[in-house]
Amino acid sequence: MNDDDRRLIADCLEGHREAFSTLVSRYQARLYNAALRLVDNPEDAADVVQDSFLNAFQSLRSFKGDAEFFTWLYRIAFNVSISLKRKKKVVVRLEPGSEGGPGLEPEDTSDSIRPGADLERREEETLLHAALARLSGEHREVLLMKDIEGMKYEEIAEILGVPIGTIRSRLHRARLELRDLLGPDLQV
Amino acid sequence: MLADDQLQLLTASIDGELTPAEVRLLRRLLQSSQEAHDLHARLQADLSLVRTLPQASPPADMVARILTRLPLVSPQSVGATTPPPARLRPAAPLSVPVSVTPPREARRSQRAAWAPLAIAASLLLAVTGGSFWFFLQQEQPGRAPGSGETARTRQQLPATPEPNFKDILPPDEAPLPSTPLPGNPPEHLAAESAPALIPQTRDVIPPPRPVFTGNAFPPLAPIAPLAFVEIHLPFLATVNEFTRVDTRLRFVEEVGKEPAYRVDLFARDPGHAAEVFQVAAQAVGLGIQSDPLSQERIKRKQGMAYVVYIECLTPLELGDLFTRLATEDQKNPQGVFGSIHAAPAIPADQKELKEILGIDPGLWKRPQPQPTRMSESKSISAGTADQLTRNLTMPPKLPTKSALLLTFAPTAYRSNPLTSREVQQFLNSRPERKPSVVPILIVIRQATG
Repeated sequence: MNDDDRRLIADCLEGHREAFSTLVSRYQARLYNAALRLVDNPEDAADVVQDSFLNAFQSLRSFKGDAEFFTWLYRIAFNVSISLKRKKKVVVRLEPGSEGGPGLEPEDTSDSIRPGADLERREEETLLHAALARLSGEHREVLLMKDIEGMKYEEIAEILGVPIGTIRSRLHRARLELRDLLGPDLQV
Repeated sequence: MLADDQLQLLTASIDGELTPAEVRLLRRLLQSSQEAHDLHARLQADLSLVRTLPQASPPADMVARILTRLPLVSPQSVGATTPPPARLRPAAPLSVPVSVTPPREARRSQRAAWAPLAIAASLLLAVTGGSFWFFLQQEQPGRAPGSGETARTRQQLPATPEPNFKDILPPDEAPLPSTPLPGNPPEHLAAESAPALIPQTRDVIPPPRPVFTGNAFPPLAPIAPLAFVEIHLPFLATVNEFTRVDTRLRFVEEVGKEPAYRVDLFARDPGHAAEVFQVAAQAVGLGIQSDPLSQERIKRKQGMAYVVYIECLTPLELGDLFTRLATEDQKNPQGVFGSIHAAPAIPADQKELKEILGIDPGLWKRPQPQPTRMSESKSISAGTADQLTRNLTMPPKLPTKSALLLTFAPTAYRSNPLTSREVQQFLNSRPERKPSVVPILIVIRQATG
């Protein structure tokens, strides 16, 4: 864990809530994107982020600092997402139209994505989104944790509660499955 | 057809988690099997694609929403009662005290959480008020405090007149404590009785603090003389400003100050910017070598960062390069480049460069100019005529200045420098560095502003 996070957590435990505010500002965007890919819905992702930070605040004293703060936060968010998904399953059955809608590709309001950007890139993104959506849940989770969040095998294994060997083989299958799904359309 | 263990080796290399032994195996596999080489390249491209997925922005009021709910969490409960979530499993139900329900249910549960607090607060208020009233009644005039008699029992007792103590007690003949005793002068008391009565506390009382009795403020500690600190600000300008002479001169002067530099070149589209950079470089006689993976990414306009390493240009030539870049940039209607930021290279840059090239090129290595030894100089005629003849008869040699352009990304997302033919070719063809050149690391990256 970096020293800056360590200092902020120590300040927070001493009662300085503004230190926690700094932590929230620092990690909210990253956690939001991670949550968005887990729950496929912007509103749910916002709820996941909100509850994850509050849970982290409550359990801050139990955080030993042996992992990165974001990894610990991601663990919490992952469990909140799973819990939310379980609750939402009933709603999804009642409202079949809401599944697989535009929530798959969230609206991106950041400046880095300009309107009218390159069509080819957008096409690639669409194909990739579709391929990722078709991956099995297990494979998609590990792939996103590894490629987007840049986690190590050990960290993913700890979050998912499975041995490191399982993570390695799961990632192996996920990569080959994604390659198959992308097919010859997206090749170097 | 690749075996399963070979496939696992390939995917694990994409994960970036190979052991040194596995790295050697992978290198051998990539060199021996074209199929493995192709699949490796495809998997790397997939990885790059996944990493270039657009990042969504969280709601603008996210921080405010979280901080608003923060006071609802009792500060005393920070880590006191909540079980650590470190080992929460995905299969296990969430054991967190914070609600993960939708907003309406959350509000209901918040109200439910407030009810016990409200009851406790009202009980506390009642007890405090009662206690206050009780003690107020105890301290009524004419009432002995602490007798335990309540106002009600006092009302029930018959009213008795207050006794006159002057009539009951005998007159007090004793002198007042301040009155001197007759026949015992104060001097006598001071001389004989006082030493016996007053404890000797001289040893335990600290000495009095020194008091400054002057008319001015106490003297201050001597202040060290002020020292001037020279602050070296990095060079910051826009690429378009390089069309002006003063900006170019400022850049040349800056780059001449330190032995090596790192330049961050911000662009709206790094892929397109890398293309424009190559055009500008060729225009000033600088050849750009690049690996196929980076060229493919540039061609596809992938929003990745790119790095260019140059170690054959002097500050003036670098100024020319960026001036040319500004000219090329102006040919694009909306402009490709934004700002340029140049700062002396630091050890972290050297480390990055080492990872990119596979070897340490020695950023700060600068050979000393050879002193001219007049005494041992050859005569003009020795070999000069032959050299002159050769130069006149043979075609002029093209400048061999070259730079290397690669993807600026962690190891897993770019070509392995040790197996890349282009990187090895660049490294093998490096001429001996001249004292006047400045090695420079140019990173073309996405402008976020």
